[in-house]
Amino acid sequence: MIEIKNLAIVIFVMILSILLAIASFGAGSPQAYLFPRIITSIMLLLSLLLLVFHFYEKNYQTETINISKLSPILILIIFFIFTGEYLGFYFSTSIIFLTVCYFYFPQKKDIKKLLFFLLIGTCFMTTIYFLFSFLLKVQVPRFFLF
Amino acid sequence: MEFLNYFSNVFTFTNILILTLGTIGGLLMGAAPGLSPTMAVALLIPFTFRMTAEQGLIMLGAVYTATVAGGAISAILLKIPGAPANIATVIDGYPMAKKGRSTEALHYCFISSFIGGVIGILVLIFFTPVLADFALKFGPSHMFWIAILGVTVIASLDSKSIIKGLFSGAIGLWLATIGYDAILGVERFVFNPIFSGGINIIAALVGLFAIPQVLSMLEGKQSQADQFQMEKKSLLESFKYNISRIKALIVGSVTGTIIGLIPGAGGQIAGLVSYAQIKKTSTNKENFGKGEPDGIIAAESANNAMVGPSLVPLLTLGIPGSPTAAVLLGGLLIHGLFPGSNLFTVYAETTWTFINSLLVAQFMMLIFGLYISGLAKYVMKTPTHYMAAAITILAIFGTYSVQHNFADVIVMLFLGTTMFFLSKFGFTAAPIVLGIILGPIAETNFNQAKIIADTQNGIFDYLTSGPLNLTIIALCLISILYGAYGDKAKKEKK
Amino acid sequence: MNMKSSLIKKLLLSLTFILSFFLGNMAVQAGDYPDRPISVVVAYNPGGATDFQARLVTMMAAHPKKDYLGQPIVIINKPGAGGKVGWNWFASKARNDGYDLAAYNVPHFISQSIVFDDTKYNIDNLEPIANWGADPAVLIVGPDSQFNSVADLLKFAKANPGKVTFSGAGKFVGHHIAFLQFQKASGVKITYVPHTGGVPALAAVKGGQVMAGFNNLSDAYRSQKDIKILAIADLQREETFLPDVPTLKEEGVDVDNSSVNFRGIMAPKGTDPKIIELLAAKVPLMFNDKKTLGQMKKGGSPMRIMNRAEVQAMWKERKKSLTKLLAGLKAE
Repeated sequence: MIEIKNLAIVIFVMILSILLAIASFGAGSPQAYLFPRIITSIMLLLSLLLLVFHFYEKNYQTETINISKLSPILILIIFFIFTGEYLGFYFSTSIIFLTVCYFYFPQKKDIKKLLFFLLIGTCFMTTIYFLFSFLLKVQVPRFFLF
Repeated sequence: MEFLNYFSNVFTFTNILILTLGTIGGLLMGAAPGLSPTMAVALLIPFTFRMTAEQGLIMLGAVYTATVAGGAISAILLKIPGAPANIATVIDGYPMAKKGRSTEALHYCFISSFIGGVIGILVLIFFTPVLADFALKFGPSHMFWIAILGVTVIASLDSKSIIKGLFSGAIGLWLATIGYDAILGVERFVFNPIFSGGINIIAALVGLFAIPQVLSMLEGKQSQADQFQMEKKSLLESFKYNISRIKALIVGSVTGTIIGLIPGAGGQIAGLVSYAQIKKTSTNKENFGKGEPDGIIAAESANNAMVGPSLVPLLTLGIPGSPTAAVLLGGLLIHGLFPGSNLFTVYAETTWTFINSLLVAQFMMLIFGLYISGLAKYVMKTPTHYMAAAITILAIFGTYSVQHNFADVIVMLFLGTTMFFLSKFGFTAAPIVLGIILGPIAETNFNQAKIIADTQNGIFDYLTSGPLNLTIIALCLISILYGAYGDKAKKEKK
Repeated sequence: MNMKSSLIKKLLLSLTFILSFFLGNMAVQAGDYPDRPISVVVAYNPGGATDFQARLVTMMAAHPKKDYLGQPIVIINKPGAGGKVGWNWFASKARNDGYDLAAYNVPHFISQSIVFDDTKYNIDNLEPIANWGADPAVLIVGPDSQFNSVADLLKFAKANPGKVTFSGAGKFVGHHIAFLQFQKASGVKITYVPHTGGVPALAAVKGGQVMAGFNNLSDAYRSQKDIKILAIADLQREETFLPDVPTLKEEGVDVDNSSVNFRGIMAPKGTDPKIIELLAAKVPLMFNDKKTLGQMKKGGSPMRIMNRAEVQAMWKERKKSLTKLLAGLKAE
């Protein structure tokens, strides 16, 4: 569990605006960068306003992030970003489907349950295949059989 | 009343079959996150090659109408707008569903879509020649302000504070400048080759809405509380209530009609602006955002009222009134139908049959929409882990199919994951998406305005003179002030 | 027990089903080229002249009664920055297996490869297949414009240097080339307002947002009621569609045919020469199909079918003349 304080948000917003402003003012011709410069100027102004309001207003609600609960799906997303194009969409998204089912199924898992996940996954992937590859003729990255 | 002569042409067996299939397919595609109306129509154009011009257009028209309405199903039930046009529907639709009124919300959505849609088509039928000139009046300065208005309106509506809302909008506008400048061709902010094509709108929409929803489902905070049931609700009752909200219907349909006429603006702005209008003028403002039916009625009647009028500049001048209409233009051209007065003389039979079929498609959309939303309860019973996995995979395939580009999928996943953490910081997705969608419109028109203004009295004068400019600027200011006032009111209540 | 076995039965059944699906797909892939749909990347928006012409000229590809390609051609739009986004993708990312083709626009991609440093494409890393059309740029003004001839326009422009605004489809595309030549030949200073495509540029002229513009002959031809066409930027008049419109040369402005927009199909470098040979033989036949020609004529799109060798010569010749014209005009 990570807790987020309001001051942290304000600091984040300020750093983001400053970074984007540096990127926008730092390079290139004035003509092509005019619009991004106007935008980042407005962002800097807004982040200053947020800072002022932080000291003016006291009672903020704090949000929490449950990082341990989220780690399987976040790892899956990173895994897919790096391998999806090489492992093929059908193969790697099937892994996503089964892993999400495995980690986020609330009750006890036995072999019957796992086979059931496989069945549902197969049906779902068939539907996806029918819709995208068969009907819409989208040629997704493939790997081996899939 | 020329159009009446061609009404019987619609009711042949083949045409009705095409209408039915187009409507059902459109509703389903609209409900799937990532398959936007623009894409659905673009993907179907090759299928029309084998059909006659009439049949092809009937199918494309039916799909256009149905996808715009179908996007509301996932907006209400999953908090993921099926298409950009349904962003405003999320604001009140999802809270209503959360309160156990999802069937009712879906009823309002299809009934209002139907009413708005019919009004829009009637405008198309009766006012086409008059309205064409109005559409041409919008020059770079007006389009620039319209884009800014879209961002300020959403910032004031869908965020916890107006400052954070405007900041989100600015992030979106800045993100839109990644990649090539649309008119100068200069490459900007490409820190990594995956950004070289800029940020694709559909990738952003799908990522920013679907992925945070998946993550919060799996984080477990809302999975239990949000497993809402679909209640039983009499359709007749919903119908009566819906008709009684005459003000919301009128505001939605009129705003949608006007915005549809403006070239390039599109359904996303129509829904938002009318939502803002009805909220501002409502007697129970505090209910908005918590599940107020008026919000859904105004937004949905507006985005469907936009469909008909967006074809006015398309059919008369060849200027598409919305991105989907731009794709539809391709469909017209393939069958040798070229926009202009020819359409209503030489090709009158095809044109009027097409327009009439759009009217019939509204009825189809109502009937099948209500039926399909009745089936949606099975979707709601799906356990969280299946749902989360299925949405992720649909998002991946849907994003890839837009441009056959894996970089878009990476951008989608990256933006979505970042958005999840930003939402914990009190930022919302809608203003960012609107910024990304409207950014290129704002920037291109700003740069064009600047070039033109330099030959006249300078940019400031060019952007701020003329009644049309001043009206839109006033609307922008009102929406910001209104948002600030709303923040203050909220704080005083505490 | 019974339930369990039926579950496994269902599972096995669906597995066989899905496997046969994929295996069937594999078997097809082992056949001769082309055995699956071919994609053609269009670097412009759907509905624009290039997009719609590309869709028309490729619509007969899979016709069962004709011996063209036997597989459908799917158009994929990758628009942005006057075509740079799509062509950059094509030159650097497209697979050279014959299933990724693209539509080219000359002079656009050649002039961009000369002017910009960040383009990944040039005439050396692309292989032309065939050319389908040639669309000259025309000089247009709004319906209520004070200008009725090129002379009127030049007279006003001379009296008000820099005040006359011209729209066009973007920077360093055919319209911009025509504009640059027009400005150079007439010696007056005028302002160019780039738009994101031919259609919005045309709308800006119709709506009076700009005073004049260069646009595609095909698009202008279809909107003749809403605009006045003053001249054509080519060496001879367009006899089929606009026989009454004079060339700029006739009007006393020395502009040649450098800006004529040639459209055709190309493959990435490294594509199997056998595949290129096959495409180069079949594609021109497909362009010449009666139905295609008829549809193109209806839309006022001038056809000019050229084979691979002719296009290669044309590309080289254009590169030479454009390098001369654009000398000293580096983009920022």
